[in-house]
Amino acid sequence: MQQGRRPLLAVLVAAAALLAACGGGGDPIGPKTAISRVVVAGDSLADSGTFGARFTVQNSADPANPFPVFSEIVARNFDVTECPFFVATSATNVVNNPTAGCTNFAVGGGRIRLHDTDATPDLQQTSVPFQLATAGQAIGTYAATDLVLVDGGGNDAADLVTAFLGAGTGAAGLQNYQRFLSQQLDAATLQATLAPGTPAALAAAAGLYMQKLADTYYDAIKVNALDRGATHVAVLNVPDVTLIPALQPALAAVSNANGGGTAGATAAATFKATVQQWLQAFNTELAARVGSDSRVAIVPFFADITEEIGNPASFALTNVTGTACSALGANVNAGAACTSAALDAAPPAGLAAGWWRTWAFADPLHPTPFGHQLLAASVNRALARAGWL
Amino acid sequence: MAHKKFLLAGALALAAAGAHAQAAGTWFGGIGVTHIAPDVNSGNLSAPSAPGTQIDVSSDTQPTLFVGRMITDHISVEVPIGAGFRQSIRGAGAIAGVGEIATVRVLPITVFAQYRFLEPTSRWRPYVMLGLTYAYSYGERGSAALNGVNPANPPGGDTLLDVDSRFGFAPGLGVTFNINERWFVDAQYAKTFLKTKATLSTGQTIEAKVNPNVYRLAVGMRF
Repeated sequence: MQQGRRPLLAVLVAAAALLAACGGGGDPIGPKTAISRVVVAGDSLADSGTFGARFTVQNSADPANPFPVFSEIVARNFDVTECPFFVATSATNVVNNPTAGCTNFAVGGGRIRLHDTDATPDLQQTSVPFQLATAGQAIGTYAATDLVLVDGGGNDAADLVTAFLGAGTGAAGLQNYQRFLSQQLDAATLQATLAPGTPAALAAAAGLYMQKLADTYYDAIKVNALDRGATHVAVLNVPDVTLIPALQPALAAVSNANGGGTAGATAAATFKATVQQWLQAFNTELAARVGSDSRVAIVPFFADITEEIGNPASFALTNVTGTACSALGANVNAGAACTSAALDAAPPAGLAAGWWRTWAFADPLHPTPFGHQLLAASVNRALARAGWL
Repeated sequence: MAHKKFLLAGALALAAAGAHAQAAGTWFGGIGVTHIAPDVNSGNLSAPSAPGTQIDVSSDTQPTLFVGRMITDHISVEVPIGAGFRQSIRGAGAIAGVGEIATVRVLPITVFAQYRFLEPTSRWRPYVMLGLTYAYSYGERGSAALNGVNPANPPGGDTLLDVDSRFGFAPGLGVTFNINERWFVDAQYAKTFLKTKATLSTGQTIEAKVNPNVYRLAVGMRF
């Protein structure tokens, strides 16, 4: 039997060698859905260069390759490069980009509200519904390989907070607040809600405003994307703006108006909770309108930014309250002012070059490049869960 | 026709067998199907990541070979031989539902020491065993979903990963049914206690107890 054993062993070894040869690594596994075009609408978070610079820190080391905003990071993961559909010829004039094929319609300052009521009307291109309508007309019918990415509501919410706080300052402020609310609420609803004339009534009207704003947001997405054949639409809900640096002065003002100290802190906390209710009214309505539509993936921006700011260490963030560009006395709207080289050269006490890379905010409204990476990861998690990535 | 051939082969084997019971000095080998089902207990991916970013590992089934030798009438040594398993690493915890974030090929190299009960000539022989496994991991591939959900992924770039190859103990049990002097059928279960670590090219690490349950059904022969 000694002879009989050897052929069997030889066969076993040969078979194992053959099977093992089938192994090996390779290229990364591609997305579950082939996306060849990313269509974006929204505000400064998603704006890929309408005004030239992105609304974040500028890349001094490689100006030709600016630090990308979240929508660009999401697109690049599908091997898609974005360019802005709208381009500014001045701070107050925006035209269509003569370069064909650009499908990022987001514009810094973007808002969901359709009209504005103050003395200096906003550029119509900052209306997210206008952006979506323009995109719909430009594209015609969406393809199964299109990803539509929409963000909005953050600036609207900040405007609402300002208008609401102004209502407590006198008759002119109250009138302005009513005019602001009338952008979304019809006269009868507005009158009925404000009739008691109490602060609670004013706050209730704000909640209704945000709820109606979600309808406006969803309707614009439905008419201009879903009804035009879009099957992959990722919609960011509204973030908790009470956590961003831009809202802290408002909260401090509420505290001060209530005498500061413990009483002030309590009043500020109550106001913060009230604003969060307005934001949740928006998000609840948006989720209800989307329902179980598998063509739409809601990105839980509210929950995700809350988690990031609540667990900075987990996200490798070293600062979630400060604004990096403040070290230069700059914000990112000026474009070129807040550069990586300038930040590296001006570290706050005790910090070394590169310090700003682990901060969440570049200025009171806008994330750092890493903040954009965190937001992109949040969007991508929703896309992956929808089975698109 | 095939049936008759089988009977003939069986008869010949029986005739030739004579002294080939499961006794000391006997070699044995065979072919089977092995199902490997990880029972994952994942740690959290280190920063930057959402709190509780974890992984799960899918099961896989592959044909495998094995060869062994009876050292005494009761003690045997057995070595499974396979081409390895392709395992899908999926998001869990904070990234539950994102699907496959990577695949890895695992070649478990194992030596089992087995103790077989009853007599070498018994029709049924249950056994217990203890194995030492070296789980060799190779061919790691990340996915677009991994790139996407990893906040440290360089925009437009890829997150690569490396899974550590590790040793683990594998206690188990099984039973051999002797069809005749030469042929047998074998069912086997082992639990491999295996802890490993994956390192991403972006610097984060995650540890997980993979602890696969390994089931094998095989046919073999003595010679």
